[in-house]
Formats: sequence, C-alpha cells, structure tokens
Amino acid sequence: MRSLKNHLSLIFPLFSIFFAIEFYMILNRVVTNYEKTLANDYTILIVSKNELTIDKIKPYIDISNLKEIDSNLIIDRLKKDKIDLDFDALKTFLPKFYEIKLNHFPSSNELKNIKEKLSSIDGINRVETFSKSHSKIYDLLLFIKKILNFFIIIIGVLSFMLILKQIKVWYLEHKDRMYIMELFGAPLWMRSGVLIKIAIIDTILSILFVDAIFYYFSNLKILQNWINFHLDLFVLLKDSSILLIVGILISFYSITSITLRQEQK
Amino acid sequence: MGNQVIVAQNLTLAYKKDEPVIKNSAFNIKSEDFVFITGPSGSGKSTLLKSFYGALKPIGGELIVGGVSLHDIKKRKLSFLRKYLGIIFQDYKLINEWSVKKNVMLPLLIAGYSKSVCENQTRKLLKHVRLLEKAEKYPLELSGGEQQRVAMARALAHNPVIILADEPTGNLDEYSSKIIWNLLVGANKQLGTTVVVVTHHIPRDIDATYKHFHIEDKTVYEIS
Repeated sequence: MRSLKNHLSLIFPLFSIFFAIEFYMILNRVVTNYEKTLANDYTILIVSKNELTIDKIKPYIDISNLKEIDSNLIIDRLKKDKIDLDFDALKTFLPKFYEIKLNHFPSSNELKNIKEKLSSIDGINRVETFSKSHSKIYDLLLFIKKILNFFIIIIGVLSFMLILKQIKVWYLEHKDRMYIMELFGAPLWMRSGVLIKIAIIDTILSILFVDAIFYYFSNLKILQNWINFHLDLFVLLKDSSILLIVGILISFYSITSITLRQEQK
Repeated sequence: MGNQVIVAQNLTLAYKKDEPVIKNSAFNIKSEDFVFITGPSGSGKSTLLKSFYGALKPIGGELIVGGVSLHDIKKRKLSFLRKYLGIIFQDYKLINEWSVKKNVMLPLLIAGYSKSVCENQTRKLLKHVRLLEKAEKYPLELSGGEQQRVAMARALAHNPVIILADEPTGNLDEYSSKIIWNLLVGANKQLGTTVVVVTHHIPRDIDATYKHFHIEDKTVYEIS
C-alpha cells in the first residue's frame, strides 16, 4: 500500500506534465492545420497597370500562386448593376486584377511587409490584404496559443516541484543503502540506481495512461467531426517517444540534483 | 615516502572548527603494516579512521592515503580511492534489502567485474567466513557475529590495498571474533594488505607483528 502511494506520488505529477505536453502537441497540430486551411482560403488582391507574372513577384514575397482575374467578370458585374457606361471603352482602360495565394498564413506584421513590398513593384496601383478580417482570426489563434503556453508552464513548474519532493522522499528512504555504496566507491549512477529504476517505471506507466486517454479521445467520431479536420491528432509512436525522452530527462535531473544536494548536506 | 600508504603531517580533525578532535598529529603507516589504534572512549579513534576513508576532511595539516591528498579531495577522486579500501564497521553497515551474497558482491560490482567472476569470488569468500549456506539469506536473518563476518567478506572481496576496521569485534562472541582476527591477520600476511584496526583492547593472542598507535589528549602517539 505504501509502495503504491509512493509510486502514485510520482506518477501523478509526471502524468500532469505529459498530459499538458501531449495537449500542447495536439493543439499545435490543430492550429497548424487551421493555419494551412486559412492560407489556402486567403488571397491578396492586386490591381496593376502592367502584366504580372509569378517570377516577377517571387523575389519580393513567398507566394504559391498568382492568378489573373478575368476583366469580363468585373464588367459583367457592372452590367448587372445596370450602370450606364461604354463597357467596350472601359475594357481598354481597365487595369489588370490579380489574386495572390501565399505559402503560409502570415502574421499581421508580415502582412504589413507584404503590402509594402507589393506596392513598391513597378505598375502596381493597389494592394488589398483584407487585413481587418485577417488579424481577427490570427489574433484569436495567437491568444489561444499564449493561454495554453501559460497553463503548460504553470502545470510544468508545479508538477516538477512535486517530482522533486517525491524524489527527496525516496532518497531519504534509500539513503542508508546509498551511503554504504558511496563508502565503497560506487559512482553516482550506481548509488542512485534504485531511484532511477523506480522513476523509469513510473515514467512508462504515466506515458501509458496519457497514451490511453488521448488514443481514446482522438478516435472519438464526435470529436473528429467537431474539430472538422482530417488529420492524425495523436501520433502514438512519435508522441510517446517525445514524452519518454522528456520523462527520462526530468527524472535524471531531479535524481541527480537531489542526490548531490543531500550528500553535500 | 617509499611504501608509505598513509601519511599524516600536523593533522587536525574536527567536526566543529573550534573544537578539534585530533590536533597537530604526525604518523606514517607503511604498506603491509598491521596497525592498532587505541585510546579512551571519545578520544577520536573512529574520527581518525573516518578521515582515512574521506568521510571527514582534515581542517589542518596534510593527510595522504594511497598517494592521494584528502585535504581538498574531489568526489570523483574519493570514489576512485575508496575502490582500493576495504572498510569494516562496528555496526556492520550491510544493505538489509540485499541478500548476503549481493552484499559481499558490492565492491566487485562497483569495480565492474563480470557476473561469473563476482559469483565465484563471493562463493569463495563466503566459504572462507563459513557462511556459504547462508548466501541467500538477508542480513537481518543473521546473528551479529554472522553479519560482521559478511562485512568482513565484503571488505576482502576486491582484494583491497588497505583494510580499515572500526571496532570489528566490539559486539561479537568469541567464535566470531576469532574468525575476524584470523581473517585480518591472514589478509595481512598472505596478501600483504595493510590493516588498520581501531579497538579498545588489542587481543592478547594475535598472531601478527603490529604497530600500536594510541590517542591521548587529541594527539596520536606511536607506542610500538
């Protein structure tokens, strides 16, 4: 019973850290995917006196596509609005309209830069970036990310403190054995072998719990429909490996620092 | 220095800076010496022995063990030095969660010997201390005398250069005491191991030529 309590005391904070990291990774995937979708849907409109080609724009900004908007479409629209004009004459005066697609979803600052660079290209009269609607969506994404990072840091710090406390309890439990080993010249890794062993077992158990929870939720149809993305939210092998490395680093650091600090006392 | 394994010059030892336990003492212990350190209770015998294995660093003077100065010794170097020492304590200091066999194996595991070498050497030693049949038992299942014999086997396991023993027979019956003294003398005579023993009484029937250091008024004197 005491042993189980001891294990749970480490499994709980490790689980919290792993849960937070896994949640961060999954949300990052959702956000990245959302950014891609936004980038696909997002276009910048250019009005130019001269003809533009993708090669002419590329030295200035990273674009994926440049498409000329047929001037007939604009004239048709004016015709629909029943405006009394000489449309044939207008056609000869009309500048060229282009829409640009970017390779990624830009930040507000990037967008300003892009607008400046495009405006500086010879012949371009006007650049419409639709920055108002753009920044609303992007700011919301950044806000979500920032809140999540803040919570992860809080969870991480609190959990790490709990881990240090539990490793200290273990150290005190095993300190006689470790002292005897030290008297016979055992190196640090050998002296703290018993702590390392328990920490690795608990790390693996915590990862299994996190894996089980996220595997279950990532396969829920309701959740997939709600998020509306067709991507693998939870990549079992990759994510577990990352968590294992993080867990081992945390355990090794805690054990080494506690052991050395206690031995100095 | 030649074959001197422990050299002390103006050695001062203390737990609190202003209260020295040993003050300005000088002595040498040579290779293959058998040394007894005696003195009244609280005179600093065990403190002196502790300083030999680096558990207490000198606050003054110089203490060199196996050619290594212990004054400002780093942890890694101390671990290295301890691999060449065999230490026996009055309270045995066995790992109670480990079997007798694993306790004896400890210095061999630390030295990095293979499993088969560890097993063979442990078997030989347990036979030597007449505890082979108790190899799988745990220390708390043994009597005090038996536990000290396990500690003795552990101290001898890696064929140390120096054996440091703190009142090794203090709590033991005559039978176990005799085995312990025979083993210490045997290690000294047959293997050339330097033996330093802290004790209240030097056994009368000990079959070895020995040096006798006595601690009085915080000073170490060589008597014979």
